[in-house]
Amino acid sequence: MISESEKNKQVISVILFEVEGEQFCIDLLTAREIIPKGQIRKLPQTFEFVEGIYNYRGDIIYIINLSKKLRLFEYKTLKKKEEAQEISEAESNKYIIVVNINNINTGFLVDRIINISHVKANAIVGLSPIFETSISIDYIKGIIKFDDRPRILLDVEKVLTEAEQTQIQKELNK
Amino acid sequence: MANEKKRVLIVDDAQFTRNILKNIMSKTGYVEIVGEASNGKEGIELFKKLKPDMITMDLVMPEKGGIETIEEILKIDSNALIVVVSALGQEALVLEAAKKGAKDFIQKPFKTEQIIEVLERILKKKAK
Repeated sequence: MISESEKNKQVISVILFEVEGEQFCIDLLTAREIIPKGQIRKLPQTFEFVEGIYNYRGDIIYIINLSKKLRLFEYKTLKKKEEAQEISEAESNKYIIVVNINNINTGFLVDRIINISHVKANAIVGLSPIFETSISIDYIKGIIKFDDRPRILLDVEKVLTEAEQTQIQKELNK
Repeated sequence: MANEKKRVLIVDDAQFTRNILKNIMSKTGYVEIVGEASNGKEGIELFKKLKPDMITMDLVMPEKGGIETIEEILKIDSNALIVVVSALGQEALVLEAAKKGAKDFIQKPFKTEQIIEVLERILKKKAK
């Protein structure tokens, strides 16, 4: 059992990135590599949030359009137009963050990589009604209180449901 | 932490930095420094030979820099655990290293606590 004082000393490294003008973090340990978006081959029949497949170091991996998966567009339409940052096509979907979800390499399509930083575990708080979040709480591991403003720490393993992971694994094995 | 000592390779061109890292990590009792390299080229050779559990990597070195070395080591073993050692003002390089697959970073001037936190996190991942 980790004591509260030990927990407060713990630090994690996070990578901060942007999708549709919203900034998110993931634990750096979950990222294998971040690569500029290359040629993604579209698939005729798959989930609507799958952008396509990509040849990553000789392995075929699925590329997830995070904006679609997290349904960020729905949140954006709810926001007042003047608040929403418009992302031009040239600025969107520029990078692929390769993560390993239950031994399957998967790519998350994101717009911009901002930085990496160390975060004290006690700066990560659970969800509370004071936070308006742009995405479903199912995908959220916590909220990180950065000096300027809080940001969502994504739970990488929950971005795809078990059923989605199984389906993707099946399609990969075809 | 498992009983077996974790094997660490230090890649840094400054003897002084290598010594500090070696002292701090050795004192934890669960880390064994198995090799030291003073440039990227040597680092890659030692990595192939020693197969360490973790590598600490300086970013600016003669012969072969840290970024290029990270790329080559991860081509040899995509699961290699590399921790970047950076100086203040090298944020862009650290980000570049993370993009290539480095798993964490330690910032100079060193703080013992920070090094131990990073070690524990990384080596816990190795134990999984």
